[in-house]
Amino acid sequence: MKKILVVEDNEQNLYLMQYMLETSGYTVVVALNGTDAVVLAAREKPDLILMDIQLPDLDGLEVTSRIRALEAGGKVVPIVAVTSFAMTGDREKALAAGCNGYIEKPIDPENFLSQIGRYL
Amino acid sequence: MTLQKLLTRLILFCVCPLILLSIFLAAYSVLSKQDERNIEASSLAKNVAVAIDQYLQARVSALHMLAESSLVDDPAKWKDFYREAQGFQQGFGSHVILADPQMRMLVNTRAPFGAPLPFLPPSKGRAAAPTALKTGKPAVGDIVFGPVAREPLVAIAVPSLREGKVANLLLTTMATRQFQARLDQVSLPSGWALSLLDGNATAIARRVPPGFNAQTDVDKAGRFVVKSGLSSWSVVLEIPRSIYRQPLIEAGTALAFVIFCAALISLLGGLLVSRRLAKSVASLAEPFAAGTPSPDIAEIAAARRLLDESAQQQRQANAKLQESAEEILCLNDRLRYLIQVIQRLSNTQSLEEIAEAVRTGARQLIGADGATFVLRDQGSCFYMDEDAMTPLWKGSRFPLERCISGWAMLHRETVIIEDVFKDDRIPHDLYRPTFVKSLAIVPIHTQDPYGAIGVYWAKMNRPGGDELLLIQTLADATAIAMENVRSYQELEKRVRERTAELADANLRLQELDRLKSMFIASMSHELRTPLNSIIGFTGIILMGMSGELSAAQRKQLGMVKKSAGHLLELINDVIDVSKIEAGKAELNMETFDIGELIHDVKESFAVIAADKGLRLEWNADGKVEVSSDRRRVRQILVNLVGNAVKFTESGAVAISLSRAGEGVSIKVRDTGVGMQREDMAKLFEAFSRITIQGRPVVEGTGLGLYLSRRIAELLGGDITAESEPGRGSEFTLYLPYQYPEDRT
Repeated sequence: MKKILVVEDNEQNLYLMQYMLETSGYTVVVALNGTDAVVLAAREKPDLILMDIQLPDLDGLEVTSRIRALEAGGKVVPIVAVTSFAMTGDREKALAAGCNGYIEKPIDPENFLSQIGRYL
Repeated sequence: MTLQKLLTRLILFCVCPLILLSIFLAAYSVLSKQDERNIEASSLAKNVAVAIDQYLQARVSALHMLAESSLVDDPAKWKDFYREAQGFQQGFGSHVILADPQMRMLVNTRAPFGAPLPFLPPSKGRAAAPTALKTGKPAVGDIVFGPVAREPLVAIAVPSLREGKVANLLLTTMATRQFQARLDQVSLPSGWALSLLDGNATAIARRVPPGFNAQTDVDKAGRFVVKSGLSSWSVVLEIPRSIYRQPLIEAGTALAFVIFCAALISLLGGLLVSRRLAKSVASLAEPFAAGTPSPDIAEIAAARRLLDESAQQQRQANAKLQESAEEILCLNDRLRYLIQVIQRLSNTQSLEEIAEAVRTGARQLIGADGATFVLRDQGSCFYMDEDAMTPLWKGSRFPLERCISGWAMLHRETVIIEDVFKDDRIPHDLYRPTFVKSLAIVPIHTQDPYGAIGVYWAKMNRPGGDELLLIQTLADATAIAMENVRSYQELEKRVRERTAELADANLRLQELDRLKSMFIASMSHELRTPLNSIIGFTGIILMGMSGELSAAQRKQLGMVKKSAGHLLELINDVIDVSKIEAGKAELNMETFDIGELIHDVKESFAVIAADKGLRLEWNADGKVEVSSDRRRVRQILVNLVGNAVKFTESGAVAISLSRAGEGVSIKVRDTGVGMQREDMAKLFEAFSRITIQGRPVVEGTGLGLYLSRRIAELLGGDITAESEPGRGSEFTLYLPYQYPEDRT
């Protein structure tokens, strides 16, 4: 069973994604802030990280950079940025920070599931 | 042309008619003299002829008496007749002959009575006897040689008529000597020739000057012929050419000489006078020299005097002019200096600089020994600055009433004092230690003096009008400079205040801007987060993840999802508009194939179009690369194609691409409802809604076309639209190949 780390501070969104992913048969690990996310990413070794960009403590991009820094030569986990920042350049910034993909909020479940399926 | 030439010409013109008149008069006089002489000559000839005729007539009459006498008829009485005839001969001095019609001499007083007598000699010319015989009238004959008298004779024959027939002829013969004697008695001017010629032109008597030759010496005009009334004779008066012409020549020569002399005299006189006149006139043009004799022509002398006077005046005027010119030069230098000082004043920015400019300026300007710049400081005069040969009162303050500059300021008028120690307005104690003997004080700003300029002299002096004017001008300029400095300082203060205000406002604006950016960002985030839940959960439920749904639930939930989608679209558009209007829209330029992008867009509408039964046409035309923001171009195309599909119920939506100048032109044409003219006008306005069949269209955000056009403009392009109600619309997006450099 694939393990997905969902980094998300908004409860409703978290619940939406958790429910959707678990219903679809994934194991979901949750991080409510950036610091936890870095720790969990290292400890839980997820198969995919869904990263919110706007977090209470750290910026999602910063978190991504740290995770990538910790990986240092080891296995590279795919990180997909999930954000409502739909401004030009956000995608580029995310990719530059080390993300593998970019999903814009609000998410359409059907579309969303088919997109993450590609990274697993 | 010189005056002399002109005058000479004038004289010639005047003399010429006189000469012509003289010549005419001379000719006339000569001709009349000639006429006179001709008359004299012809009357002389006539007189001679008349005298000859009287002479002959007397003899004819006497012969006639003899012829009538009966003594003639009877030869027995011829002895008595002879005696009668002898009486005749004694009376008239010419012999008498009686002849018969056969020309036989019967009696001749030349011969003794009874002596045999010859026939009458035949005459060469007109003989008297035959003529008288023939005509029955007395006749005078031409010259014959008398056979008895043995000398040239002329005869008079008178017929003795008896019963109408010539019975005998009575003749008398006269020796030509008798006529010669008569001619010799005529008083004849010397040189003239007088002849008595018979009918045969043979000379009966002739009187000629010595050496006279009628053939060569006489012209026709010099020949006067008078015929005798009784005979065929004629009296001829001849004047030899030399005699005839001499008076003419004499008169002509005399006249010519006189005319020549007169002309010469008038010419010479005229020339002399004209030369004198010309010289006099010419002397007018020469400059006046002392000792030059005054011209003797009154008018010219007057003109000379006038000229001399005006020359004198001109010299005086020139001298004055020279003087004024020097003054003007001096004034000019001073004015130039004044201008320099004024220029310097106009650049001053403080009272100190003004004082500096004024003190040196005032002193230099009129060459005074000292100058002060005095400020009015409430109740006192402040001698702020000075430029003087020895120190005056720099830095001192005096009550206005106790100093002369104070007086000038209070009275608002210029003060000129030639002797400071004779003027009561002057505080003498203050002036005693100084060099000042004379002064002038000019207030600065006459209406309400700010101060005064003082100028001082070590020797008694009274400044001229020009000098005073210069100082007053300097005072006026100083007033302006002081006002300027005041305004400048005021302005500087205000600028500082205003700059501070502006900096403040700028900070506030920056804050506002930051707040706006934050608002946009948070709008984006905060509005989407709830939508995230709405769209997400509706999606999950519709997917059946939370259990099976009834048809009604599915329909209603579908409506929720659709509305949420619409709301999301609206939020996105509003955020876009905000960003563009705030100038915060970021462009992400890349080079891409516009055809491929159009294809993608077309594909994204394939399902919707198919559902509506519309044809979606796209004529790909190779690869056309543009450099632009792909996402933004896509946004525009989605809007245009989406509208076309939305407003077209049947037919087709056709997309075409063509190159247009420096870019591409993408046309989206539909066969939809089209638009009214009034809708076209507000088509690209924000939140404008068009009406279709009288109903406003409520679908969409009302921002689509507005946003599309703003984005197109942002990319250096444009959107235009054409439409026909009921027939369809065509939207054209123009995009440049290259994003304009100056926009980046």
